[in-house]
Amino acid sequence: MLYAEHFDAMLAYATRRVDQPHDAADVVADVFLVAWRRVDTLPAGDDARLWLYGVARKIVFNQRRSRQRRDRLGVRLRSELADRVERDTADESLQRLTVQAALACLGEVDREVLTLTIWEELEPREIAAVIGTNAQAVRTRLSRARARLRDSIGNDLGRAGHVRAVRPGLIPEEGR
Amino acid sequence: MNDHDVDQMVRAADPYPDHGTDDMSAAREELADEIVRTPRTGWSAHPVVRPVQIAALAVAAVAALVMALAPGMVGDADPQPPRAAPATSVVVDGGRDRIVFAAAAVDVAEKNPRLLIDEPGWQAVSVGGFAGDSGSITFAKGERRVEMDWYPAGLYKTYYDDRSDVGGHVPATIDGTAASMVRYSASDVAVMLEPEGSTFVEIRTARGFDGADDVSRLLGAIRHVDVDTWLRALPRQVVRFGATEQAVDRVLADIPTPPGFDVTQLDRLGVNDRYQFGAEAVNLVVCGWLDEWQRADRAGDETAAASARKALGGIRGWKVLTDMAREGDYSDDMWAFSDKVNAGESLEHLVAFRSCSADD
Repeated sequence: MLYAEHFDAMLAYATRRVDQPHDAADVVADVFLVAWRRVDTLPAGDDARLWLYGVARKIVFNQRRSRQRRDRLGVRLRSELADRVERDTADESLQRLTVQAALACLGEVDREVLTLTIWEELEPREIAAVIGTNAQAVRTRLSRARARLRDSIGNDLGRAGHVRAVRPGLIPEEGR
Repeated sequence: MNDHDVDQMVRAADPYPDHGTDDMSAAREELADEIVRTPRTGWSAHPVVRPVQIAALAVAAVAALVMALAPGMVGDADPQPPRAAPATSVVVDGGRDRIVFAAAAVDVAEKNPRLLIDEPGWQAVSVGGFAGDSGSITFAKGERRVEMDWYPAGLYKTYYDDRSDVGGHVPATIDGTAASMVRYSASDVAVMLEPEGSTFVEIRTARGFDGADDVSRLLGAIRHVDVDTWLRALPRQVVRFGATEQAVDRVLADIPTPPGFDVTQLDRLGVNDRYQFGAEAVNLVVCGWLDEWQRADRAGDETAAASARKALGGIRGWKVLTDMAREGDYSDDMWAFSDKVNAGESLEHLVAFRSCSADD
């Protein structure tokens, strides 16, 4: 039930935050492995969803450092996800890469607040539960993240010939 | 470019625009099968989080779980609730103009590495979110911005390891204190000072710098200062004794407060600039009204419930939020909440939307 209900959300979250599809598959596998092992004490209702986001965040966070891949579970998911991501990234626009590069230059918490707001469509109070702070701090960080992204990208993005140079791919994430 | 435009661009840059996984149903089921065939035993050897208040403590539970999942990994400690400093005055006299600082401000100063930029023209333009061992100050000079964030010393290793992903640490020294620097670009760096006492500080050249030399000059101009000097460099309305009382009066000027509202709670909000203080104060008032509404609802007191609904439905008329709207999006958030009240949203949903628990 929990798995079926939140699988898509966890896969989306992971795919958005790691560089390689097999890493995303590992994150999803680990998230639900933790949930399985903690099934007796999982929070109820919508809190479970936020709890899973929190678990996913920690796993991504640690995966970036450890660079160790656990190859026991989710072999098929890794394979199919790799195919999909290859299709999705074939049409990377310069604007998209510019925005992703600008996101990568935010502090991790600011970036996480912004992307949880826009990509995962979470409310400040929900983000606060995921990242372990209070809703006001989330709002402050959200405001700061938008301002910094605006400064970083500039007002000319989207007009041909006026975009900043970007690296051909995601900048490694800061980690926090 | 406004906030909406920024959001639109980030949305368009979503690396995972397709939310469906129907085409991967077989892989999804295969993984589920693998997981449930994984033994749950062996887990009990690790510390577990008691299920008490599991929802409110979800993040703490997550940290414990992740650490248990892979021993040796460093979890992300939860920020502790701000510690209230005694609401009395403290005189700090550095031999110059005599200023009486708020005790809360002195408390923060004493626990803080107290760094300033020893170069004319820099001003602290944003102070917030700290009362004890974490917080943030933004300094500005023209277009340049420098942020100094404080964190509990216990999180130093976690932050250090995280920054390693940026591209490697370079040893640095800030006014005699060992530090390490990571570089996002020639003009955008983050410098972590090694912990001093209960905190460590990270300096980020937020924007406006013109290359590596400019950044180096800035870092070379940062100095440790004493309590008096540090406090004098912060906005007077933040640190001066009596500033809180004035701020309280300003915020509450046209805001109805719920029955029994303890105004003195606002004295214990830590050191904040006007925006942060306004947000914290409004939050206390709104949560007070929600508490009152819940109480009235349980007691069948329709008059009191109507009063609470009326107060929360009138948030758009609160002047402090109009003033704050120029600086951030807190006001928009509160106005959206008030609109929900006026639209007849259920009390249960409103309570969930605001999330007024102690952990929030």
